[in-house]
Amino acid sequence: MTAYEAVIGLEVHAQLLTSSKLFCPCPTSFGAPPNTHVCPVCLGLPGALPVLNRRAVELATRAALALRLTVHPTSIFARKNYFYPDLPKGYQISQFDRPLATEGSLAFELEGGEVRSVGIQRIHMEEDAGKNIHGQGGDSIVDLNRAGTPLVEIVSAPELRSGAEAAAYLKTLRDLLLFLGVNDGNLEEGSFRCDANVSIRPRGAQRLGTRCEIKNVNSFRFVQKAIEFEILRQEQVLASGGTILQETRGWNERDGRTFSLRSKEEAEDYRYFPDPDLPPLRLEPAAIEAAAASLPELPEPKRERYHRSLGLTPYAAGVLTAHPRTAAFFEEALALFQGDANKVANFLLSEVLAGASFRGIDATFPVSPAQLAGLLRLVEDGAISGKQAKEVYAALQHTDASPAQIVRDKGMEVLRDEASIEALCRRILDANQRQVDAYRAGKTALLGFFVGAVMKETKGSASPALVNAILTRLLTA
Amino acid sequence: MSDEELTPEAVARLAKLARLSVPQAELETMARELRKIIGYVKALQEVDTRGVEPTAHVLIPGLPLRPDEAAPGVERGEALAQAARHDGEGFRVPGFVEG
Repeated sequence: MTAYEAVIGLEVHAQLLTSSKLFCPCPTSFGAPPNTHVCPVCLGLPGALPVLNRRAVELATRAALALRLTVHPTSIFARKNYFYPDLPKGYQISQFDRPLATEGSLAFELEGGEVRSVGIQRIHMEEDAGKNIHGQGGDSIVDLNRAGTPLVEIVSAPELRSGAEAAAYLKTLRDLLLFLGVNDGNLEEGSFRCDANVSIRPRGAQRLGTRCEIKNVNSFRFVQKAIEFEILRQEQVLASGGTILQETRGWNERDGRTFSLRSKEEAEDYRYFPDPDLPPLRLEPAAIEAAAASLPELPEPKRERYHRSLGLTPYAAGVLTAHPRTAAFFEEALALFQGDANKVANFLLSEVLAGASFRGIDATFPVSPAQLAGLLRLVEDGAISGKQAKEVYAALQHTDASPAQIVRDKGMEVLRDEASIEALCRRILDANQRQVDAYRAGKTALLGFFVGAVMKETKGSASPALVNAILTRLLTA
Repeated sequence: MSDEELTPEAVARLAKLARLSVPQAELETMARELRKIIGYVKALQEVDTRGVEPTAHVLIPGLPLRPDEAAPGVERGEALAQAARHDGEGFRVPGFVEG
């Protein structure tokens, strides 16, 4: 244990899943050709007036409530003034001293099972800036498609103590926003971004050390590594008698090091003031209560319910709640199947998820929940064997066919004719007299051997339950 | 900001933040003039407004909201034409580092 402890606070910028921008109707879809989703408002042209997107307010409120923040009936949009080429108005519309919501918390689990809870200081709405697309002869080229995209900024209390804690917090927060339908959790496309404030202080000290801000690291693993590197770096600076400079640092993935982007010696002065174009945002307390009452089930309680009430293993519960579409698929299939949840979960985990693909909040599965439920129902009713189910599943993928139809088409119906199964069983027993004697002498584990032989003979098409019953009867006769 | 603080140095700092170029020789004059203007507004600060919600707008009680419906904005060519320099695809500005 070193003489220092780290103090880490995270600021997450999450893009709200709206169709249009925060203050104008331009589309928010990702990947459009540069500067094709722009209008006088997001271009910052004189005289253009912002009009707030209702959906953005609803989504931000939902996030705030799920994180147990107090949502304020009045919040105020302010201008944050600074000059940067990707900020056409010369200010960003944000919320400052009267944010949407304050004081909440998020509980998350560390590897090894320990549960930590960290305070959330505030959630506010703001607009995104544009971006630099490429350099050209010493110039930069700016794309304003992203300018005006609605974001929530979620600010944690400086209560995290390690890179691993920070990564666990971020993962939990990302999953939560994904399940709320607030954000698509796509770090690569930048719709979930994180800045980390890192400082160290002598263990037991109250006063915070000078902090460095690590900007825009785009994976959980890198956030963890960047923070771990930064803590070590600061310890070495102090150990060698130096002082930490307040600065903004970037993360170089290739070297595994943070590096200085710019010094913050001069504290930023954004000259915030209330935006005269935007009167205060008023939310009816009744509307806030209604939003709280209509929150969807969150990943953590869902995982708990899958494990405790449905009897799934913690592992299966974890996998099924890793993405909201997987959980929805599972729940729909289970409702249609009306049987053992573990059978649905097992087939999903072993077969369906292997063929599923995920992109942000979207997911595609090789079969529908109804197809999976129908397939499991056929097995449950003894119409096909478990082995045949896999064959039917292979034929079902990416079709609209019903499992029963495929079973009929393939002539796969289980052999359930008791007389012919019994005849086959007798034949198997006669051919293996030595094993029959051993069984009768007490080696009852040999039942599996006989069942296997019958199943092999029928190419897996006999009902295993029936084969079991007949063999047991014949052997004990 | 109290008028005692509105020194020529403070004016120079504000000018820098606002990307305004103010010649050294004019800082003193500008500070004096700004102190006058701020002093005028300062009279308002004598009114006791504790517990009074700031008036954001005299006509609109709250913020109007719009439905989340996407609509096309302006053509790229028209947007780029507003800028001093562009490359047909994006706005051309002096080089900057993102972050």
